[in-house]
Formats: sequence, structure tokens, C-alpha cells
Amino acid sequence: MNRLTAAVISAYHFVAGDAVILCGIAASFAIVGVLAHMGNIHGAGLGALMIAIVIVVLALSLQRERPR
Amino acid sequence: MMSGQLWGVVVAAFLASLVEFVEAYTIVLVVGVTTNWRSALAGAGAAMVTLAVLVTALGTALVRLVPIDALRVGVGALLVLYGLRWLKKAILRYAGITALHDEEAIYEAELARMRERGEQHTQGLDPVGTATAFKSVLLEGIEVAFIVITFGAQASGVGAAALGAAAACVLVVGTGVLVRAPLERVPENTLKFVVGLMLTGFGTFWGGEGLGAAWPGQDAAIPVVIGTYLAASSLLVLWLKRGRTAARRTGIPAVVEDGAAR
Repeated sequence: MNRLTAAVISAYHFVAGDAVILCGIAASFAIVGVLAHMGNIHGAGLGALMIAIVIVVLALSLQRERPR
Repeated sequence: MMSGQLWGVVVAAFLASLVEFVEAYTIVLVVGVTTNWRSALAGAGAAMVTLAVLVTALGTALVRLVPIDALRVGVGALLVLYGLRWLKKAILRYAGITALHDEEAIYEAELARMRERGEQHTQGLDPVGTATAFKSVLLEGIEVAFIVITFGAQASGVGAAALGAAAACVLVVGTGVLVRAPLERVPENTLKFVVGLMLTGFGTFWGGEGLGAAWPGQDAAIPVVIGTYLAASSLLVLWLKRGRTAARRTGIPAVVEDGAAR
């Protein structure tokens, strides 16, 4: 396997390795961006919302691995 | 001889740049200790070259032409992505769902196998590690350039501001070299857990800043963000452990080999 193929596979695994995290983070940035643009939430509220969404995304991603 | 006002610019630029250098060096240190130093230094070096080209080409126009908020959002999102994946793996290991590996024994065994085959052990460039170091140094470097240009322009002393920033850089890199060795002795999973927390924290902070969040206390909010993630991660470890205990009672094997959990 040449270096280019290895780099492409590595990039694929990085991006698609955990769809929940990828989609969750994209959604969290989009939601916070839209709210900031609309001016519904200001200042520290945006940061707190972002932290909360990131924690929920992490919990959802771990939920798949939790033994039942 | 410098006037009192220019000394003020030196001190102000030193203190403001110190915060940015600490942030950039933290990420480089993290990549160096957990991936390899070649990738960390290659990323940091490439970022410094890019920054030098930008500053040389744009000069003081840099402040107007570089979309710093868009850069913060891009770098922040990628750091959160990278950090969360490390954090998830470390949490699964702490909860006992993924088996804890003796990394040193695995490394030594792999090295012995390579020697038997007559191969040389090389620490190649890791694309993700190099990119992480590059993005962080570039973003923080641009912020330092902004500080030097804006502080310097206010008192007609760009040179004095640059002197303050250079002193901060020397102090941070010098301190970083001293703390490198003790960090390399920290157990592998603990290190990955801390790194995951830090990357996620920095990514959230920068991403939030880029999107318009006003963090209370500005850069002083970073330890609070990281602390919040630490508390949440500790609760998630407990939650997973409870699930594992319940699964044991029902006879379902709860531990999987590392790599199965992504």
C-alpha cells in the first residue's frame, strides 16, 4: 500500500469512524451558529449551549457501546 | 532607549501573547507525547512557515484580510472531533468495557518482531497529528500577529510589541521542554483521557468564539470548559460501569478487545 492510499484510508477512518460524533458536532456548530446569527441567545449562553450539546453527543456515542 | 509607553507595549504584548503561546504549545506537546514528536514539529514548523509567508505578504493588512472567526470555527470543529474520539476510547477503557492494554509490552514486542525481520523502527509522519499541530499553531500564531499589529499600531511600536511576543514564545517553549519528560511517563490511558479533554475543551472554546460566544473571563474560561468536560466524563464512566455490572449479572460478556469500540 503506498503512502497516498494509506493517507486516504486514514482520513476516511478519521471522518467516518464515528458517525454519531461527526453528525453531532456538525449539528452543534450549525445550531449555535444559527442561534448566534439570529441573536436569540447571547454571549456566555452560546458557550454553555455548545458544551451541553457536545456532552450529549459524547453520551449518545457511548450509549451504543454500553452493555445492556 | 525605550519610553515608558513602549515598555508598556512590550509588557502588554508579552502577557497577551503568553496566553496564545501556551494554548498553541499545549496542543503541540499533546501531539508530540501521544503521537510522535516528528509529526508535532512538522505540523508546528509548517504552520510557522505559513504564518511567516502571510505576515510578510500582508503586513499590517493581515488584521483586515484573514477571516479569523471562520478559522476559529474550522479549527475548533476539527479539534472537538479529534478530542471526542480520544475521550470516548479512554472512557470505555476506564469503564472496563474496552480492555486496558499494556502498551509498553505491546510496543516492546512489536519492536522485537521488527528487529527479527531486520526492519528499522521509524516514527513516520502521522497525518492527523501533523494537521492538529499545524492548525493550532497557525490559529494561535495569527492571533499573536493580531496582538503585535494592534498593540504596536496603537503606540507606533510594532517592534516593541514583537519583542514582547518573542519573549513570551521563548518562555513558553523553554518551560515546555522542561515538562516534556515527566509527561512522557504518565500512563497511556490517563494521557489519552487528559488529551481528549483538552482538545475538546480548546475546540469548544475556539469554535464558540468564532461563532460569537462571549466566554466569561475570555481565555480564563478554558480551564472551566475543560473542568466541565472532566466532570461529565467522570459521570459517563460511572454510568457505563453500572451498565457493565448489570450485564455481568445477566451473564453477557461486557469486555471487548480494543478496536472493536470506535
